[in-house]
Amino acid sequence: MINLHAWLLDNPTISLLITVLCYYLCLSLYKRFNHSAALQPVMISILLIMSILWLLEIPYEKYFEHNQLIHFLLGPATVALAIPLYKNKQRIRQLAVPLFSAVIIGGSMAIFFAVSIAWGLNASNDVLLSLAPKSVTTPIALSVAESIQAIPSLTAAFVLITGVIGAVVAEPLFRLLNEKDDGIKGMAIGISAHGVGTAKALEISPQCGAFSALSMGLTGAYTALVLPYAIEYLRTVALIP
Amino acid sequence: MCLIKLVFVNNPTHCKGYFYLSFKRKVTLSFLATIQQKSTFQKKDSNSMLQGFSILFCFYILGELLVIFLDSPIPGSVAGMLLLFGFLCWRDQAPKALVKTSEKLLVYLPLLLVPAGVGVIQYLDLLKEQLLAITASLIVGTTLSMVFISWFTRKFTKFEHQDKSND
Repeated sequence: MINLHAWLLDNPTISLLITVLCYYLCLSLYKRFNHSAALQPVMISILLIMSILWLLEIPYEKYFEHNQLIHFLLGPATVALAIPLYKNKQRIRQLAVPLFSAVIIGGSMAIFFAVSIAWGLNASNDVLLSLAPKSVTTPIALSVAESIQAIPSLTAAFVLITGVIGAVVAEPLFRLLNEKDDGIKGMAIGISAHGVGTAKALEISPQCGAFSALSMGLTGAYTALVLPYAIEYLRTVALIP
Repeated sequence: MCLIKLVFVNNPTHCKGYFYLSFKRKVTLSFLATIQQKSTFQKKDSNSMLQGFSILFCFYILGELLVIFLDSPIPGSVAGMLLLFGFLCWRDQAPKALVKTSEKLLVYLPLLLVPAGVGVIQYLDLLKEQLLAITASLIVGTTLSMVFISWFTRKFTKFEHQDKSND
């Protein structure tokens, strides 16, 4: 009986079970409550798992080590994001100019707004770096955070919360702005609120969802290509340590 | 189909009256049909999963290698994604197995993010310390960027016209 806790800690199955079961529960809850953005399943399951780890006194390092099986698949899944992008090839070609200008300018401004507001309120360097990729789809944001030496876990949390905020704010905001074009709505949501926002955009209309998914993919690619170089440059001119 | 006929012909129950027979036949037929469908479906499916994952892993490795050779700070998985996108555009057709596997994998994408996300548990103090800056940046930053993007797209691109002519 004394060794039971130690045995459970050394067995990867229990950590994997916690992850899968919690996500499953949160997903069912999310579906039960009509896909309400405030119950975003990943965010809720992270909170749930955090409290379970705290209750069972499982150190995070151990939990993460045991969950390598799941975490590893993020790489191939990121590669797989090429397929939805390829499927929209036609649309990208037709709308190249507005799409790319919105993604490049909008994606850069999303980073600028987030970082400058936090900088103005005296956030520390780690937090600023982790905030930078917050408007990008989570798997890409995680790898970008790793490559710019931010804290990936913080980035993951920021990205998810950003998505939830985007999804909640979107409809009242567009009503306020009197914006009626579903394409523009979709682009605004996709560039600033990635996948969680895209789920919301799909509810507005299929066209809005398509544009959101498309601009989300392009923003991810653009940010991953540019942000690491920008941060590297800022490091060489010693603006950031 | 051959198998279905065989079972029906060899079925000893067809001397037990017409209704029973037709009922039995219906049941056997539909049952066999589902079994056959299922087995061929699973066979094809497992093969396509293997093919799909091979392609994904190959491009993931290629991406990582490219990044190392170019000594670039771009994440390897994103490089792999761009390589795969380029490859698909070049071939101008996506292998069915790859599409199927990717769709299946992407359904579970949110789950894959959970282990990394739970890591926030290590930084709760940091979050508490800078709560104001972080919440302001997240809420105001996200809203501002959405306002900016819709304003920018409307003002500086002829998005609407192009879109309508294409639909």
